[in-house]
Amino acid sequence: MQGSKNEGLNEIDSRIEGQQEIKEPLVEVVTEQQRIDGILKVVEEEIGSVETTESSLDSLSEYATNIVGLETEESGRLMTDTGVKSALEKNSMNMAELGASTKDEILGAASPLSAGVILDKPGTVSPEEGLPVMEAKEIPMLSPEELKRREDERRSLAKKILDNELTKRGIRYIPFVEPLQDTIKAVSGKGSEGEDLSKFERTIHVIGAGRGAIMDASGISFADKLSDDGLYLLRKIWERSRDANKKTADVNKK
Amino acid sequence: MDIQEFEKNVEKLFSYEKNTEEMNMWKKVFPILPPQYQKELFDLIAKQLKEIENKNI
Repeated sequence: MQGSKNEGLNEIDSRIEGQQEIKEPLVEVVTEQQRIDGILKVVEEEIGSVETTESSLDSLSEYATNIVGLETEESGRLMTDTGVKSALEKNSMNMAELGASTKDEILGAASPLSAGVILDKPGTVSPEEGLPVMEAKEIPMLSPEELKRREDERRSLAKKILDNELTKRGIRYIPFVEPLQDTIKAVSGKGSEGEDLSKFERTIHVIGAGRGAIMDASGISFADKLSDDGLYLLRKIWERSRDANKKTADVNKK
Repeated sequence: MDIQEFEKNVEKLFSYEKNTEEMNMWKKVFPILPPQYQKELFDLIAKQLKEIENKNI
């Protein structure tokens, strides 16, 4: 496991060091079923066999459909065949544009992006241990509308910061909070409350994480939050999805 | 930009709004921002805090 993990990370290093451009599209066809198949394969290798009852497969399929539906509804979050292909190409190019020569530099550069993950949806990230617990105070004069206006004001600044900072670094900003949380759960095997997750539950989280991995392609936006294990797993998810899609495309051509 | 002053303001503001999660998020983000955005964020939080404190007087 350790050896193969290092190979995965070394590949990331070599791609960064060589500033290798993608000459051919890495993904030719993406369907939700292919994604599920590719991801399940990784899960089976990395986590163990997956419970595949009829109802669990239905749930997986429904989950994947919801993901695809969600992504296609919003511009900039495309998850269509073309969208994935485009995201991969752009992000692969962006890794080179970062100008970093080592993985550590990439990880360092990823901090604002990680911050972006949090900034996108304030209030959806679990509070961290060790930070002060606030004393609840009443807000007698603030209506819900006023609270909303104040939050919008803050989010508007957050968006401006993200747009400017990430664009400057050559990173296309893709907001996601849930895949990050999914990845943490998939890798740790623990839920939000620290409870042990079943294999099926871990699979669900891996699929959610796979969305992030596929869209981000390089996986660097998780760098500030995750251990090498997490990066490795994301990379594998992406690679397997890519391979599964490529194979299917080849078969279709024949 | 004074990080401690910013944190103090953020803690006050979000104690009024009862939003510990957002408070944590801004505290984490502030130190890694470029100076111009630190200033903008500092001013916005200070403005909102003043706003809410004035209403409570």
